Amino acid sequence: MKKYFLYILILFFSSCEKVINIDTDYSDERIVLDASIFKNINENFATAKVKVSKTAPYFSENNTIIDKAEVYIKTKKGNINLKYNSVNKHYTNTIDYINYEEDYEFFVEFEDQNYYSSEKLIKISGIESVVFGDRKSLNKDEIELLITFTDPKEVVDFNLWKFGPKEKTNSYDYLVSRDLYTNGNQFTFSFFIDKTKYFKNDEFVYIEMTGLTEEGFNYLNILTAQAGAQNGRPFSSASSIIKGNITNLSNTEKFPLGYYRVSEFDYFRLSKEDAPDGFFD
Amino acid sequence: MFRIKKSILKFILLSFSFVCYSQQQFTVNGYVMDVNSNELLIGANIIIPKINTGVITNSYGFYSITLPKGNYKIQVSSIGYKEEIIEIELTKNISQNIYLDEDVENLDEVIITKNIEQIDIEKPIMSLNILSNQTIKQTPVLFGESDVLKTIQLLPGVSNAGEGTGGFNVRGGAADQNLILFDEAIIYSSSHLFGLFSIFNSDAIKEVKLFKGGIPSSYGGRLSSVLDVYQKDGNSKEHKLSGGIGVISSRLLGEGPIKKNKGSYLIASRGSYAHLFLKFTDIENVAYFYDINTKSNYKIDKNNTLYFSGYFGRDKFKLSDTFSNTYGNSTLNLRWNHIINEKTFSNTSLIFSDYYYGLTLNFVGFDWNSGIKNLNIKFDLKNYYSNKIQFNYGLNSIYYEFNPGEISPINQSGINFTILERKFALENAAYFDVVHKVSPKISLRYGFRVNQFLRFKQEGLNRYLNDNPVIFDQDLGIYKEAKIIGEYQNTNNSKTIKSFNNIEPRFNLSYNFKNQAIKASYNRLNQYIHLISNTNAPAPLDIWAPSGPYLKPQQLDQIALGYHSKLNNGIKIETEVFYKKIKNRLDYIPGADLVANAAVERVLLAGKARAYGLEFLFKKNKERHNYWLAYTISKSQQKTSGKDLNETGINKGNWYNTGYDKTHDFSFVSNFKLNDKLTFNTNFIFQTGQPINYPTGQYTYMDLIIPNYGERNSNRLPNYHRLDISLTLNSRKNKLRINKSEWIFGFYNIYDRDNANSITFKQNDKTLKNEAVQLSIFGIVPSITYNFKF
Repeated sequence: MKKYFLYILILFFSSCEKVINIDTDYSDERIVLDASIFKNINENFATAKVKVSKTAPYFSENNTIIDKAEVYIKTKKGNINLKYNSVNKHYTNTIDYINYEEDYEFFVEFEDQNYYSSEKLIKISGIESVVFGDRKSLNKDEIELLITFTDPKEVVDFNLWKFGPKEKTNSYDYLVSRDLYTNGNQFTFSFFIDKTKYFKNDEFVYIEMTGLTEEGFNYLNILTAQAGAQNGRPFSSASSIIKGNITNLSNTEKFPLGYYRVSEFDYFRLSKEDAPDGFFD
Repeated sequence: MFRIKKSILKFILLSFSFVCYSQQQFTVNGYVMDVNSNELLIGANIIIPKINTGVITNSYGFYSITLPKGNYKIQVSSIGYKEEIIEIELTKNISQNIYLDEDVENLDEVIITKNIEQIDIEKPIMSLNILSNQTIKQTPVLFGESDVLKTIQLLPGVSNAGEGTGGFNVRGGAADQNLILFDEAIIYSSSHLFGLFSIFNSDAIKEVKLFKGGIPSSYGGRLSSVLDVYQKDGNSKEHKLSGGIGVISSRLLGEGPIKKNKGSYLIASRGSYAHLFLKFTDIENVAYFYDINTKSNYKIDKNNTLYFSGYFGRDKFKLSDTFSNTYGNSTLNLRWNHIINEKTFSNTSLIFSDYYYGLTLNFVGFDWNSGIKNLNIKFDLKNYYSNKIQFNYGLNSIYYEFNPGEISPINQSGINFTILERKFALENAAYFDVVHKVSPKISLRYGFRVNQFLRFKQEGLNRYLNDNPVIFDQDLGIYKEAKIIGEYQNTNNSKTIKSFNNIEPRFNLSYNFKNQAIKASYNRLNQYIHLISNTNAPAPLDIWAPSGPYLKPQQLDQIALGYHSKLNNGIKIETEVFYKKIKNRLDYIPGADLVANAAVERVLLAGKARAYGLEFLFKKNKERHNYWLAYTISKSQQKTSGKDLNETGINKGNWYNTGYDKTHDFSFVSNFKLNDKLTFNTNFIFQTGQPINYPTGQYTYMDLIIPNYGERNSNRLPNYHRLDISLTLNSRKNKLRINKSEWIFGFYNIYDRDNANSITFKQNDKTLKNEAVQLSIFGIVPSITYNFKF
């Protein structure tokens, strides 16, 4: 919403953007854990994926990937060790059977530090449909997607939506949502995508829905805003370090960055061909 | 009914009669007015040279002075007017209105006599800046639209968060700590188009006072400053029309008598057509504002005058069919000025203010409405007891209704109709203020304000375990919203769920010698309503929240010391140092979501704040060249350490810069009259860059590059500076029978400095390298304005 106010200012006047040189201090090196267990809404098994890396100075793109950590998930049936895959640069394994009741405890050991977190599997309602919409955005290259799902009434739901892939780098756009004002309803919302950035590799757009805990929602809400990296803008809040749900059992001061999520997922592929004639002209 | 009230008042007044006079004394009182329009003049000087004393007219143009029996010459003057000398024979109480004529030859300057300087420097008041309509109109501004809020930012101790932001900061205080009064009505949002313009139409403004410290006890409710804006009364002699046409907005003002010399009206309106200049013209975008000011007054008899004033303003935005937005203020004020006796003046006001914010988001499918309303009843008495003592006292009661937000679905969008419960409160205050000339060298102003804030019962107020709405997770080191465990229960059956009572002492001293004065002041103030914002500048949709069971009132103590001096050649120097500390300043927890939050107490932490600094003002008024230099060096910090030692607070519980900490703030304002037709105006501003955060590193999560940040507000934007110039070309009496017209040609930011509005840290889409991108809003902006008067 706040983005719109800035749009107005920028649209109005001879505003200009330029790249400037800034020295940033690199003072706070930390371990980053990107950990997830995802289960397809229609399947019983789940896949665990964990990426272990380090922070780097802001203007350097070389984040060290750590391939010598010990990573495992503790379940009732025993520990599941995750093996390093050097192609995808992450640790992975399959969990054959996963349920909603159990705590899935997550452990990483590296350089004498023990990192730990624990989560339960989150149930989601699933995507009902995705179609192209005809509303216009401020940016002429943006087209509308209309996503429909039904929010379960009994529980408070938090979701993460993923749209992509875009550009050649297979990066994605993310949106976090909660049912504060939509609880119990069938709900359709719009998401605008830039047609010059999407459909680069494939003729379709992939839309994925996962569930979040309330903490996870708060975490990703800040994270996605900060990745858009508004800073010093009059309508943005002060940026800060974002703490996730993983602790360092050996030294709490040296807490890791990143998050551990356990959720169902559902997805939808919308083909370019599903658009009305002339939509992409 | 008048009679009953009168007798009660007399009784109150008599109870103050503790000073006795041996010599026979009489009082002269009345109003000081503009001879051509009957406009009341605020702050006009009335000097009795014979006995070296004097008074100034109050905010309603009234004066009263009590002198021993005898013959006197009274010298009356006001800036922009010719001095008037009248002779009176004081053998009984007399009522004498005084009319001043505009000084057309020398508009900018009064022939300052020593007596006036003396009076001025003796006043037991400091940290006060007064701007006349002329000063505001002469300062070059963006798009040639003269602007109160932009002009006050050129004064020492006043800054703002940058271009394209509303609000202002006084002496390191937050923007919500300014009490903004428009003909006594409280204004909650002071700008149009996100701060490009202020809501005050400078055509309709008579005078502006800005109190930065030593705030008299007649004001209360905000911590940092009082901006008191007075509208013109309207010409009660003849009908007049004036206006202006600018590149982005136009103005029209009409005024005239309702009944000659008895009553007058004034209507002023303004509208912008900024959206015609939008870069995107192929989509239906709309962005404009308009406002209407009205004022009228009617003199019932010698002792009674009624005033009515109103304001209505709206900003409207519509961006294609995705987003539309309307917001603005409206105020109404009915006032009754009554002269109770020759020494006593009273004012009774009934004031209504409303701030409305509405938003429609078509792409999500809802309408949003929020706002704040208040009804304010005020009674003020001024008793000019003797020429040494003046008493001011009064009562004030404000009833608030807060609407934090209502969401209603549009087009069966699947959004539930949701109301964030309304909140209600009452703020009562009584004040007593004495202006006391103790000796020829020492003047004091002292008093106190007693106030009370009652928060009323409402639906939907939550209860938390141990009454603690924010909990700290020690394992993860983060703050979390506490679980709601039920509805807040009142301990007794009363309507009030929480009340706060405070006494605020106020004190001002002036010790003067040879056109110099040493001044000192202390004030305590409480603020019961908070603007909940996670931005550095107020945004239109920010929500005001009242104090209550979970949010405590903010309290400030400020001391200031000053040295003021006046030199013979029109030079005035004011140096002041100040120190202030604030209790219960709120800050939000990292990542707090404040918009449409039904329980904001769950994301706020109370801490403290402090600010200190030195201000310097050098002002020279010479016949053709007036200028001032203002410099401030200051520090503004906050500390939020959490509720106990286990909590990390914000920035590990250490002091950190507020978002409006500006170390250096320098401005130069000059207006040079080349000849009768041409005036050349300049202003230059330099400010230390606004505090922000730079990333201390980066990492990858999902496929996003996440900048990692350190402590809040530990870096800054680059320094801000710019130079504006304008040239005013005057002409009188042209062929169209326009009485007076002027062309103003201006350049904002003439050397085209790229001032940073923000720095964005992001990945370049093409090179995939991280970069810092600076956004600047205004480069050089030329403007042309035509003003006319019939």
